[in-house]
Amino acid sequence: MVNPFVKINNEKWVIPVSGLSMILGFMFVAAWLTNDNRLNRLGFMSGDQRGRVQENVVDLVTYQRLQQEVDMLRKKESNLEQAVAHGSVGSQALNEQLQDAKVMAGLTELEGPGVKVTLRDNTKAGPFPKDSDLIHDVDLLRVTNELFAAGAEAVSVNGERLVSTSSIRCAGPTILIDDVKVASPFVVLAIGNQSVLYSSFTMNGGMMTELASASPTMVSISKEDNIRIPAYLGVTTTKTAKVPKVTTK
Amino acid sequence: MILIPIACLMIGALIALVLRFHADGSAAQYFAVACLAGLDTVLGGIRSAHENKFQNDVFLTGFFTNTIIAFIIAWLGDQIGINLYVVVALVFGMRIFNNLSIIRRYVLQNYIDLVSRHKRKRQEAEAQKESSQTGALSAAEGVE
Repeated sequence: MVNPFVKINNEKWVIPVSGLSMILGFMFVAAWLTNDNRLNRLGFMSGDQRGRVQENVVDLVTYQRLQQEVDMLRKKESNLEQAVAHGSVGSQALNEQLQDAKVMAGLTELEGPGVKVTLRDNTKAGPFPKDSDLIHDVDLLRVTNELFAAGAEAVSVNGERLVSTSSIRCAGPTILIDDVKVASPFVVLAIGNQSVLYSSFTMNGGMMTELASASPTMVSISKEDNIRIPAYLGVTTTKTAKVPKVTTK
Repeated sequence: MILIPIACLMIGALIALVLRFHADGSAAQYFAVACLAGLDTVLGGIRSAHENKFQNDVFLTGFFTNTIIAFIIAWLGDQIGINLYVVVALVFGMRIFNNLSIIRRYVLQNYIDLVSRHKRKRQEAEAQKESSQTGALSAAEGVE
């Protein structure tokens, strides 16, 4: 058996090349796209590369399948709770409270009268749309905020229910609502007092006039008598937050 | 011999993984370009080793200046509004392919030399055997 180190010393290139290979390996890992830094690096990439990188963010098929499963399990849970409630008066009262809390948290499907706001990018903007020709994440945020401010009890965007932990943010050509990609046209459904919602949205100088500055076709609002808003299907378990044992006054 | 730098590459990658070292945002983009420059220099080092003209100082300075210049050009391009990192990626990409193809030729040549040397050695050994046999025979005849 030949001592390999003798050979290394004889060939003088091996040690420096190996040393710098180590640095190179370190650099490659440092420059690698990971789930942590993917979002803050997307902005520096060109269109097609961004598309390829973004496809890895959420495996859409798996996500949708899991969503269906969550939906099914939540329904089952509600049925179970109701079954338990049939047992006694006390547990029935408890269950009522529980159902109220779930409505508040957005974990149940809701229906009722409300408004339907449709936002779409200006289709007549030509090949080079201006900033005002597009619906941005900020526009969606402000629309939903306006609806909540006007007393909306439940709001959804393209079928994604907004809850207290929901986020709306920009992701290239699409908008992410709690990590689900949605694109123009955006249909915002809100359940609440129809006339209040409608008038607060359409009042002079309100959201309606502001958004439709480029083209009146970008925003439309209509009163709907029966709106169904789906339950929130995202993650509901908390990792860091805990309920304190002793409540402070 | 070529396996040692590859092993070191893995070790470096592992160290970065263990330390959870990740560049963020625009710095990471410049870093990625610098990686290309580093890869080119390392391949260039292996190539010059095959050409028997490897020099320590040339190699070491080459690595650091190339990576730093690649980083600076990419950064400069963003400061003056031109995608200069594309240029860096193009140039170093071409050089990487160039170096790799030359290394491949040398490695292939080494392999062919090795095979032919083995063959020649075997033939020589056989020829020697035969001649010694005939020599032994003739010697025996002489004794008789």
